[in-house]
Amino acid sequence: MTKLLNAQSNSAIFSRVVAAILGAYFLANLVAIAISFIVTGPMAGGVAIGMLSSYLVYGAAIIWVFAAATATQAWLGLASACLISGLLIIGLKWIEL
Amino acid sequence: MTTSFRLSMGWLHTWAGLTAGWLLYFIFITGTLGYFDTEIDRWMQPEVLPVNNVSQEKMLALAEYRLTNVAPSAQKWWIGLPAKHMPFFEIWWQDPTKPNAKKEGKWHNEKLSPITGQTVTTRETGGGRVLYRMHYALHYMPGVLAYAITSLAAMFMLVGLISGVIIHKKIFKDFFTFRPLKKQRSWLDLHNLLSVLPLPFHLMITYSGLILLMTVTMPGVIASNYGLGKDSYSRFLEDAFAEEHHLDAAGVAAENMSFMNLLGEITNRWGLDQIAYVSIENRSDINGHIEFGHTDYETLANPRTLTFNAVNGELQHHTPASEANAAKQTYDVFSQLHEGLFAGTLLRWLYFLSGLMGAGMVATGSILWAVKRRKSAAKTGRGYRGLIFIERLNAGAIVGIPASIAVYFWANRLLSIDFPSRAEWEVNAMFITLGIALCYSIWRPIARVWIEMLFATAALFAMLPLVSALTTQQNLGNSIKYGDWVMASIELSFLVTGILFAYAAYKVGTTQSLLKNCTTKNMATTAEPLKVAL
Repeated sequence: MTKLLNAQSNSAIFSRVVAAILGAYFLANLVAIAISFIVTGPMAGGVAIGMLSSYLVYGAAIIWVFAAATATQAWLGLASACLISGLLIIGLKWIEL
Repeated sequence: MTTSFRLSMGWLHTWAGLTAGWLLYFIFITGTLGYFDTEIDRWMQPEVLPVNNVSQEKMLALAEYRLTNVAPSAQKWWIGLPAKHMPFFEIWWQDPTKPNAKKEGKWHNEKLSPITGQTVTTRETGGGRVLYRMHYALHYMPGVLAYAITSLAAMFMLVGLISGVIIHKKIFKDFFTFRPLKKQRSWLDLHNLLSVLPLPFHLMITYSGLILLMTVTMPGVIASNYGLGKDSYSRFLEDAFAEEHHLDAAGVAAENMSFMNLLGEITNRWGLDQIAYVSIENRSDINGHIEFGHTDYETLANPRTLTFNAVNGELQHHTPASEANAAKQTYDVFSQLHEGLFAGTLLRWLYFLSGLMGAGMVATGSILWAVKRRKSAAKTGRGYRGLIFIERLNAGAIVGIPASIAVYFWANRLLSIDFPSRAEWEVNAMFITLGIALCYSIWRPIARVWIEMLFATAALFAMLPLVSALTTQQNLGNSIKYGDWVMASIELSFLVTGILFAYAAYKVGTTQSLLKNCTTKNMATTAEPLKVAL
């Protein structure tokens, strides 16, 4: 049985808050960049669509951070999502070249 | 949905709401006033009299005459005509930009009398526009920092809304549930009512608010496509948002026609007296052009414009342009929805009420937080002092912010016309008041804080029409008599606001004495705040 949030240590809560504000922001950027590379058509359009969706990613990532059983799991989830979108970005760049 | 997930979301909802609560409340209040910013502008410049029945042709001729006299060599002229929400007849012109100068020439502005064309001297004021700007640009800090802060608060709000929906087991049942005079349950019901009823508005306003600042808060996406640096950034803005590409000045002098010659064509296309503004760029240049803007927002799209070549009078552009890309259209829809400029009077009142309900949602959430913890904290003594401190600041912020806005209006009437930096001091007066309110809430006995501050705020609002009548030519009686409904509505709104605050104070008073009589325990020593209308 996992501990409820208000029974967890302060450092675990702090770790989640950092993950929620900064980690999730970083992920939102990566996903938005990936989307902007995927969308075809004029460059500005892709950028705008990426930015428009970034806040949904940001929000969903924050929800995830606090829904995860432990702070470590929260970070691991963020990190793997970042890794996937990072690889996607590199892949898309590579195709372009 | 597992129980632990719902509990986690409950935790998130509580703390995201509480930490951003006061800032969000400030944003909701100032942003909501923004739906009537031009009306407030008008109230804060009572020297400008309303005009009826002056033809646009006559006003444009007066404006051209004045601009020719005062700014014959300016490259840009701009003329704003009074319209439904825009009561001012004003002219703007820009000093010629010096060659090799970094900054563009300075803009100047005058308000004119529509009858004589004479300059109208008005008091210097931030008006409704400054209040409206505060809801995203705050004050006393650089824009970018403020945008980041308000965007983060909006993100907290979005998370608060999503987690709020998740923790709600019976969202529709609760919607019809209201249990008055049950303390904590009543606060919860009120919080639910203010959140669920306008939930579509809350989601729309939060998400579109984030979108409006996206180019500032998500610069990484732009940089990854366009490259780093200022030039790349402005290249993106041009690609994505340039309404239409206006030609720059060529530096070749050429005879330009008067915009008066084009009025016939405009009347043919739009009908009589439909012009909101006329903008003249690159005057006396071969690339000079004249743009007319239409008064009406007929749809969610930007209002129509017509742009003519100033040398030969040929039509160059007309918007809405058909080739606008999907992303820009989406962005436009969000920004129009957020700002509600297309809305008529009734719809703008609906926006206004929804915005106030948003403020109410945040306020009741913060109060609920304290009420929920009061009993157990009083019993165990754990965290009691911190709780009382939050309760005090709740009162200081929830009542202090409206009070400070009332003082902003007071300052507009009381500061002498030639007071140095007058507009800035209106704002200073506002924030000094907020500071005093916060100190006051910490200093007074907690049982008195809410009731005294509510009464003071009631007085501040209710007396505004009187102050206005004593210090200016304008008063509520005359406004009603002569059918000046913009002025009258604003002052009547002040009165109603005052009455509502007085009623809230009265309610807090009676609830407190009620509790004193029927409980033997410590409830009466802590404040039972704002039982508005229960």
